[in-house]
Amino acid sequence: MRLYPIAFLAVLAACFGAQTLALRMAGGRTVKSESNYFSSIARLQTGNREDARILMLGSSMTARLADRTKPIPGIVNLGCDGGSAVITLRAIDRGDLKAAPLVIVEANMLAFELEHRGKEIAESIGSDWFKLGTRIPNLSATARPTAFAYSKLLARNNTTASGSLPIDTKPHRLESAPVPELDPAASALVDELAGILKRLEERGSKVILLVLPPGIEPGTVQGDLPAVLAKRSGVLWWDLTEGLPKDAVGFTDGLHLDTESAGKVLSHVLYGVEGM
Amino acid sequence: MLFNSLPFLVLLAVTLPLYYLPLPARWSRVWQVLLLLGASAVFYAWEEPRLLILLGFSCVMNAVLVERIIHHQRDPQGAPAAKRWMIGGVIANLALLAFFKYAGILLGLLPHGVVPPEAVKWVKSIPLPIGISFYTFHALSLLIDVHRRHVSEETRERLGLQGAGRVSSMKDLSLYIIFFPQLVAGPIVKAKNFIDQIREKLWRDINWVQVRRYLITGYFLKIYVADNLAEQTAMLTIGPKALAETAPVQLMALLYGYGFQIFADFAGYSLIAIGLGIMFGYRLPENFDFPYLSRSITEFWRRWHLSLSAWLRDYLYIPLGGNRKGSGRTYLNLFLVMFLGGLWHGAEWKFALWGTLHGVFLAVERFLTRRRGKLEDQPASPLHAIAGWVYTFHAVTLLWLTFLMPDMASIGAFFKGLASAKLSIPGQPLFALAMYGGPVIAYHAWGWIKEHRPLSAARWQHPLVEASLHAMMVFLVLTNPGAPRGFIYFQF
Repeated sequence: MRLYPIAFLAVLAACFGAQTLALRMAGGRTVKSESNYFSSIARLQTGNREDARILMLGSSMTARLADRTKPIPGIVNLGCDGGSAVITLRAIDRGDLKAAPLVIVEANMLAFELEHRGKEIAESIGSDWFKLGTRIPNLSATARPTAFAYSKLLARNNTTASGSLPIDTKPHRLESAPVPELDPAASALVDELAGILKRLEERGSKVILLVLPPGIEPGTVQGDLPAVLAKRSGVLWWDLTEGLPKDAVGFTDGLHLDTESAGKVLSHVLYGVEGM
Repeated sequence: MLFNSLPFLVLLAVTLPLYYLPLPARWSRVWQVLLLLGASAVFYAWEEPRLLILLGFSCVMNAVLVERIIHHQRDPQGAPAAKRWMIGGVIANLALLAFFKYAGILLGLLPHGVVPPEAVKWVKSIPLPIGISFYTFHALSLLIDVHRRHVSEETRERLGLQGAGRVSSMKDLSLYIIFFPQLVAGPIVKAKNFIDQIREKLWRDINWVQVRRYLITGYFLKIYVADNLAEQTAMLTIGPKALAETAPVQLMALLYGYGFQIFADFAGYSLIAIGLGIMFGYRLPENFDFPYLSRSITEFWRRWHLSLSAWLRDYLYIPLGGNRKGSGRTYLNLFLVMFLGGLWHGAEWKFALWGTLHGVFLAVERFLTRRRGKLEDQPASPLHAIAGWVYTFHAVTLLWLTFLMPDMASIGAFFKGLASAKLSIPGQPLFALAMYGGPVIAYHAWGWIKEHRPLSAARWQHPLVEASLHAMMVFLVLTNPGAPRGFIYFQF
């Protein structure tokens, strides 16, 4: 009769013990889970524990920069698979996530918010179980046993952020060029984001709107919304595709950078913002 | 309210100790029934209190019908009247079900102008009351079992009470219909198997070994297996264009994943329901018997959703004549039962197609079996058994497509994708299938060992082994849950 509870508790403790050990050996975080949702939550929970120098917000395109490269102290990636930087910007504005001295906002997928993409991630931030996972690492999404296994599989191909892109553009402010017309929903989103970015800068963060390869198409909502936001908010703008040769970077699926290119892009960005 | 939600855990934590309060014997039974009724009402109406109106109406209506049947059966000349009340009650319950489930579709099929478009739109906008298919089946079982005198005499006396006694009988009837563990998604319990269990329950009689076995396994299947697989298999609903361009390996991996998901979701729910039933002193029927070990569709229906199969057999197949009216009628009965069983899931072409194809499979297998002699009487060679298993598993999982896909175009696109020559091996879905489908495979492997190597199985059933396994399952539920979702069978 007593054998069952003793054995149960002993094995449960052993499981948590093994998990804690694995978490320590992995440096407190796993790279990616097989679940896009939990990969995003994991990034947010672990990222929120750190005091970042540079915060990178965006979609899975931004997340790819962290998934395929080795972690760099002080650089926190809060990319949301299936979502956009709007999710994390709102969370930072509410106080559910921490800001950083420099916040790099991926511009490519901001328009995703018009389709409410990633709303399940947005709904989770600030929930009790999200906060619990942030406080107790063993219960966070990063400590999922399947995440350890999947990250181990991916890590075999990971690279260090190194190299650079053959471009000489730097972050700058968009000035005189005409402002494209946006529909009411997109315009309302721009107004909201401009307010958030303004408050972020008032609190001491510097903000850069970053366009990642393969870029954005002017004349579309996806392409025009970030540019309008940059002009309306006055934040720095950096389009990495300006002057970038077509074969300078490679993609796994036409949208997400391959491992080598992810390392190059990340390294180029970090070098470009050094000293900011 | 979901079994895997905080409000439910609070409800359970409050209800259980109150249920087993040490009251005098003559009050204990009444208190327990009333408390369960209250808890079941809270459970059912948590998201939408208005649903209680229909449920309450069903309880009152069926209590009156039962009393009328028993009343007329007490009269030696009353058999025809009792039968009329029973048939009337069956029609009334089915009419309620038909209205909420099928009226919108049926009205839409009528020629334009027969029914005002606003009326059709209004009817279609009425949401399907959760669990209506299940509690209607309970009501039908109640009326038929009472009429057939399948409940004990003591119970008949109690249910047939008049005057002030009606309150007592209505309590018991209502508990049978709305008992929360099985209210919204089964297992479907026959009246004769439940109502006779309504008596005083004692804390010391709870079989905690069974409770922990059912609850831990149920929550593991639901939270770790089904909810995690759901995120992956959602890729199958990306739309026909993208489906047709997806690599065959990925499509099959996701299809297998859905087969495992729907099993884990439904079996998990059933196991939780049974475990909760035991906690409150009620024995609910098993609903699954390692269904993916089946070597034929016939066998599959002896292992999958057992309570529905038993219900359809006793209340539809046998009254239709079963296999006693010749082979042609047997095939027709098999087909009809499966067709109606498909429609029970919903009045959509895809459920009708699912039921139809299962009916065809059953009829064809029956035909082939008659020619070769009973399958059960012939020891299957290993090759025959493997071939049967491969055929059955793939037939069943391919038919699950009708549950998952929204339209024919998507199903067509799935097969188009299968036929493509794309050779890419998708890491993510295969990894997920291994991690979350693995336990389902292990579960069925255990079932095979129990059936074919019972002595070996007995050696493994040691408290240490069970405790270790349960601890690992609890660990995975706590640290590796899927994103919370409702149960698949709630939609029926």
